[in-house]
Amino acid sequence: MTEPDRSDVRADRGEDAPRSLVRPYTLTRGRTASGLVLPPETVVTAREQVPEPVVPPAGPRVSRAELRDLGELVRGPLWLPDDDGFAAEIASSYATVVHRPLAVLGVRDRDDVAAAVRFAAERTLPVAVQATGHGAVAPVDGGLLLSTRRMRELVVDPGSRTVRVGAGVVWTEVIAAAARFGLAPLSGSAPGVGVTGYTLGGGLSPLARTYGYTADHVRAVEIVTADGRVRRIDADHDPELFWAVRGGKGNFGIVTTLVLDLLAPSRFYGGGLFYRGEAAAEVLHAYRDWSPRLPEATTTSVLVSRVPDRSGRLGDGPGVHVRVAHVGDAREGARLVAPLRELGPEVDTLSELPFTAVGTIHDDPTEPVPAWKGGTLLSALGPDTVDTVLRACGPGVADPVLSVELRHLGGALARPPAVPNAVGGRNAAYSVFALDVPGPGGSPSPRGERLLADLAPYSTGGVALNFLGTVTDADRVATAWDPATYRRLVEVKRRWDPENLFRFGYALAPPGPARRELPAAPTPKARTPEAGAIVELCRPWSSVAEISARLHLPLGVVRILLEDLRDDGLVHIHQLSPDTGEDTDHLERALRELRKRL
Amino acid sequence: MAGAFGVGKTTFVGSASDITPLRTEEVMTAPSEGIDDLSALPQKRTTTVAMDFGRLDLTDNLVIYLFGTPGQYRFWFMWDQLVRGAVGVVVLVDTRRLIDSFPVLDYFDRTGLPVVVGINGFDGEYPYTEDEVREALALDPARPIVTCDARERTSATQTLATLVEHALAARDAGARRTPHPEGAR
Repeated sequence: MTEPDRSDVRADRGEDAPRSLVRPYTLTRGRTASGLVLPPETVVTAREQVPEPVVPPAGPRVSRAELRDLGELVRGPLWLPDDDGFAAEIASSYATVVHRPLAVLGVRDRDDVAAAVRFAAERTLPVAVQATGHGAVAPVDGGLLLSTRRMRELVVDPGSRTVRVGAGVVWTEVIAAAARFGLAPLSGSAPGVGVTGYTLGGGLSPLARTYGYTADHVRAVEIVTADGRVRRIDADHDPELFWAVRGGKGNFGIVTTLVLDLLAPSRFYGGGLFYRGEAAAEVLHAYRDWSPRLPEATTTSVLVSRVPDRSGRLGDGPGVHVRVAHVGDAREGARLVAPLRELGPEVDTLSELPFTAVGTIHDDPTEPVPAWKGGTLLSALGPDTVDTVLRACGPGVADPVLSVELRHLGGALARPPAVPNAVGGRNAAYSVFALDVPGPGGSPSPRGERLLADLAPYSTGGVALNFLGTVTDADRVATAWDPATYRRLVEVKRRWDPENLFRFGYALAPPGPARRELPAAPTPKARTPEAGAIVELCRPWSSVAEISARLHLPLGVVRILLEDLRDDGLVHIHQLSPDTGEDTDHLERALRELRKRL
Repeated sequence: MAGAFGVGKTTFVGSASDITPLRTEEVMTAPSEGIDDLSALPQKRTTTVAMDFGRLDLTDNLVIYLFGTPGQYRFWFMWDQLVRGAVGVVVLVDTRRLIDSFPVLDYFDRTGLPVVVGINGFDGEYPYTEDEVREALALDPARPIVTCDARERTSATQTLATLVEHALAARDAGARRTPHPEGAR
């Protein structure tokens, strides 16, 4: 036997062997797992790549003579841009939004609307609609604007407990008409707002936790579709379109009449608690602890605001305004509110109120204000979330956002209605709505945009459509629905408005030939096989634990890859706050569902 | 799902879950040092811990996640992250080895999480009454204790329902006692 070659021995020990580290996972960005805390139950959804909106064909050519002819065809008045009265008719609630349509038509009835839509369809002229202008989000440039404020039909049917409402009617009028029969609509927090736009966008009433979205109470819709026909749609007639318009807003046609449920209870316990700005931290932290314990009969919100002359403003700095509406016994309402009363509000307006007083709960401004507006939905309201809000608008903040409102969701809002609709965000626990002075030239408020970015880690990734504010890019509009709902809405849009006549407001990415070239689920730009597999798994959603188990990746590796994917905008991580388990609504629902299984 | 080693946590997760139960692995580093005998393998600085994972899809937007992690002391660091946001915990006990359940119950008592004690009847046998077990474990009379057959879906689901009920009741009691515990922040 000879001595083994020394070099072989060294090779066995790996001393001189070629150095080649086997990397079990492709982690290329230098991110490490330390400091990443995504808990295993964290929900992850793939972000659908929203197609770029097609730019409307430049300036459809329509002559003044043709437009004047349309004016002759209809009962309502028509104004061209140089006519007296044009500016008054197109004025919106937001001074930042100035419409420049080719003409505005003051439609009086559905026949006027049908004639106008047919006129527009023949010329592929886009059509916009405005009642009070409260919903104006972007200038209407170059299209035909239908002003519906003259469509004043308002018929209460106490037998069926419904009301027929024309497109131009505002909530104040419906409240008054229904009150004569001891009934009430599920109206908005600012009753001067038009019924139609509010309802089609969902509609978050001051009593919403008890009764759900106002869109959940639509029995039937009369709508003029892109073919210029008047259709009456409901659960049995064109159900897919009926599904889409309730929550999909103005993308599918011009709604001329809504038939809405009326509610029987005529009184509630509610009002406001107003605190000085210095108490903002104390009140908001108490609110986040208190609100999740409330029953469905109680709907609340809290506003931190520096808007001048608001009754919530006390002394210098912001005012804090907690709004409460409890449908039920006044004593029970008072007992529920006791913890917030103990904080010593400066003003306390809580009392038993008739439904007609629903607009006094929020006490929203009634005059048009030039403002940037934006919102997001939260999966929970934890201490960090509250601190983030306080850093944007709390007392002593140097460059504050003018006002920030948190509305408590859940309860009936979390359940789909008997006839399902397209209202998004039912999984959210709170809605945030911020209002601020616009940036230069009506650009978005940098403070407001920063707040929304800072809230992103606590957001569901969604937003209440009516609280999207002055945002119109298709990417952000799409976040008002989950990806499956959004795709379904786009399908409905493709069927009912193939020429994309109704492209103003919160527009869906338009269908049509340009859209069809895009695959429904584009291949993600993920850079590694693991990352690609994660994105696939997250359609429509998955959780950190499931990704780890199904791909046989350790949790730490999954966390790193998810953070990389989030940076690339390929996934949305819905980080639950530790307080989520505190939500009584969720637990009560869970218990009901578990018992059904027994 | 908590409980001593071999008490039936994995079985329970499998029975209650709507999806095939999964195993997730967490790479464990520091917590094992000095506990695992590493002398035979000096390079080994990490080890992996398996965690059982199940899911109940109650509605379109309401999901219960079930996690079961190993019962040994040295894996309890896993619980520290799971108790954040958890609704509550089912501590499974085996009446043949009650002594193993004490440290687990002690741990969860300190977290303040709602706890339901489930007596897992092996082979469907429950030789002792709930009261006997309660006394042996020195459990507070207010703490729910149920018999449960971890192999049976209905029994596992019933145990979860009891836990949610208990969490709701604990919440109400807590709300009455301290209306705004952090209000003075």
